[in-house]
Amino acid sequence: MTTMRRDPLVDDYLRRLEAAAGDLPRERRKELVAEIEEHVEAALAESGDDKPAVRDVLERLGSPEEIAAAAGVAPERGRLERAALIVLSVSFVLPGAGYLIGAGLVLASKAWTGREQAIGLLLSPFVVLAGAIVVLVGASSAASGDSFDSGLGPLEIAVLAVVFLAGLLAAAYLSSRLKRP
Amino acid sequence: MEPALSQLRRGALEYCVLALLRDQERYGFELVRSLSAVDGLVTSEGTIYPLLTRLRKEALVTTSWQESASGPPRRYYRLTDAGGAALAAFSRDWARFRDGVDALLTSGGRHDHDAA
Repeated sequence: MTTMRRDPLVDDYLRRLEAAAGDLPRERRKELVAEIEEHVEAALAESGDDKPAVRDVLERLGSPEEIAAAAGVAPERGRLERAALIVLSVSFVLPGAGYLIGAGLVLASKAWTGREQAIGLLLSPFVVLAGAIVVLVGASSAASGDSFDSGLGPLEIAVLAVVFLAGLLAAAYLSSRLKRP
Repeated sequence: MEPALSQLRRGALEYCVLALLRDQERYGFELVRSLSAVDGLVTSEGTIYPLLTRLRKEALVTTSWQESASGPPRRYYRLTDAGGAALAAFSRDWARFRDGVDALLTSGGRHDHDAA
């Protein structure tokens, strides 16, 4: 992007900004970092780029955390976000469809980054499924297979666990990524 | 900075941005340094950029990329008609507000009854 050899202090600052702005939608985060980068380059082109000048420019900018906060990191939970969390939490009432509706609401919201949406919606069913299978396989091998009077096999119970818990886990995770109102 | 002043500053800052753009386009760094030159207006220069983004989203300013003689292209900010109208409205309100507060601060409201 630039031919100027850059002070490591600047790279370090931009990395901190990128991290501090981690909760912003990707486009806005990239734009913010690019703008600050542009500012630093314009400032150093004017003042010279020796160490004290670099420090001065970065100090005048303020901390990366302060800038990220001004950019509105941690989006608030609005009506759409609340609806998504509630639907996911009670999605076991309507197995399958409930989860899909909740997932649709989450995807419609801009409050979560793509990564958070993926973790909330894909990872949580897998974690629950894996957990349920591990527990059930352990239990059934310990009890040599005849301790289930419910008539349900381990796989059925694992599926039930996913239906009941995956939505709750997803809602809990996604909720933790939002600012309290 | 005093909390009261910092609140006033936050409210007035965006109109100072619009005012700087009234007669000419400017790029980000130029805007930031002009605002910084006003004592007490800006404490952290970096926080102006999120403000500029908001003004653009509210369509009070628009941006365009322009080549620069030295270095990469720059994003220039220009006042929109809506931005001009918002600035004009604020300028009127601000003058009334400032005069009213000034009158109270200097006289302690002693002329209230005379005036009425």
